[in-house]
Amino acid sequence: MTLSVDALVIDIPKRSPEPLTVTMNTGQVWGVLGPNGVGKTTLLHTLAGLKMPRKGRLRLNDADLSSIHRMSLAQQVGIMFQDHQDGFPATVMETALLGRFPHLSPWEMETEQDIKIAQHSIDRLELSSLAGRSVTQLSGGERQRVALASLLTQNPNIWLVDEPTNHLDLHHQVAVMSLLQEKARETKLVVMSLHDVNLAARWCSHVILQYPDRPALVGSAESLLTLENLEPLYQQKLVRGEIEGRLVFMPSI
Amino acid sequence: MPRRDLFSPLILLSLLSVFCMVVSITQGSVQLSLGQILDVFQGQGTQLNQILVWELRVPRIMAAFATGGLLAVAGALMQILLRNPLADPYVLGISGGASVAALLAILAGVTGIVLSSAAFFGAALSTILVFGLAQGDGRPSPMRLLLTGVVIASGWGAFITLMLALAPPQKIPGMLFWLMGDLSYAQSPWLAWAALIPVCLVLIPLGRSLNVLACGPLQAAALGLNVKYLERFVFVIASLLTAVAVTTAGSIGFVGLVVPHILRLILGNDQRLILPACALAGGCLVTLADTVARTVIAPEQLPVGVITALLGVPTFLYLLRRGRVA
Repeated sequence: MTLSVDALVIDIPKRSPEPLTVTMNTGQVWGVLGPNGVGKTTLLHTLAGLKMPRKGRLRLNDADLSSIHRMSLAQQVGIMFQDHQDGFPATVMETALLGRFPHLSPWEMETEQDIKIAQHSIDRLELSSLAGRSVTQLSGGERQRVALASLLTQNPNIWLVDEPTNHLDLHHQVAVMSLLQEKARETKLVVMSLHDVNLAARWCSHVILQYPDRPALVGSAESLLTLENLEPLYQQKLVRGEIEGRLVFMPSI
Repeated sequence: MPRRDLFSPLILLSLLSVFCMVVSITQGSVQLSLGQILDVFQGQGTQLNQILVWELRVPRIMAAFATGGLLAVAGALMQILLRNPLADPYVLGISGGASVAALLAILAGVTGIVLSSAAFFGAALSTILVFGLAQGDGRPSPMRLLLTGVVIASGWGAFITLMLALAPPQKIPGMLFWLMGDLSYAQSPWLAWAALIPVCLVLIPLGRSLNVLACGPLQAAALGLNVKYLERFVFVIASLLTAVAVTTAGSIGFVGLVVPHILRLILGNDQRLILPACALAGGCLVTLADTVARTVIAPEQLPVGVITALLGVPTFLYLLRRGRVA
């Protein structure tokens, strides 16, 4: 499965972003990097078909994204948002089960099988002891993992994840990133926005560097994650080093 | 949602509803025993009892029950639509519009069907006004909708005060009763039932979609829901239910806000359960409140809205402190 965009201009109010052309395939892990406000979230929302682009084309395999019915799109493409809305208190289990929504017709009840899938996601994100709790009582990191459990329950072919490591402690950062990598190995496509260059260097096969003032750089993580590319990206002097054979970037203060 | 029995709470509430109705039939200026009521239902009993049950109490109780159900379901729907627990037909000014139109009709000296039509028209007008003004450029945000509703509601409130201040004294009691809800003129409960039953039947299969809509429009769209279509549908249904309720019984406050909350605190937030449960529990609350209203200082009557508040407020506060029990 391929998600491709051609001369895509995302719609950010009062700004004129540069057009983006990229082809992403299943099996890859893409990181979207850039400074605050450059449009990482808007890009992910546009890729999910939730926001119309200003210009350009978006394609899932050979079909135009906007021509695909919402429900069948939701079976293929899933997104985890940066903010999690909880209008009304729901339990962890109920929230995880939301991911089954696109797979059932509206008047079907969830079966034992659906519950089993949701339970598996909850276990996978180490939330088993919280399954019956209301999500409003959870910490930020736990809430984040519940959102990922919903996405895991949805189990789409294309995972769009907005800052997956937000609020997570180091152990859960690693757990979540390896889950995403495992998904890519199961021939899914993972596209995530990240703030931490080092996470991108460790886990992403490809990156999109979104600059505010010039066209984005698109390519393999190895070739693009360099001081020459990253310093102008963040407008910050950086230093690079190697720890146990891994590339590490730090701000130079 | 999962592994929770959806039916037993509904069966329990249905039994409670029957109980409330029976209690309500026995109570009144003449007390009837259960045996006497059974006689009447079998076509026996005295002429007086026949009239008492079939012509006075049953229509009124049916009207009370349906009105309560309509208001509670309308409140629950508006809360989902606005993703705000404070939304209800009152807060959004829909009942206010109906009241203004109805009071104008009372001042003009009309009664019966014209008064009801005026109330319906007022509710519809207010709904269009609130949502039209909140629209602005593009989609109305829930917060904007709520604020517009609150402001319009206070506008209607001022109108109502003005009319009460200027009205001839002999008309004021009738107007006040209408404002606080009055089921003594509710001669035909059938319009309310004709609205309540089909809506509940339509809403039950939509329950899962409404659960997703309650998570916010973006999340709902990401899960494959056609948000725009569903939101419009819910809005039209909720407004219609409110208009029918207000037309039947005047403006009874509080039911739409408190009944859905009480049920969410006890039963959780699965709309497949909450919406039918609202219809039943709202019906029970208004039936009981109306029974109290017409018996406590009989033959004088109290406005039913006062009783719904007196019954509902302490219950609500108690449950709020205890938190979700499920």
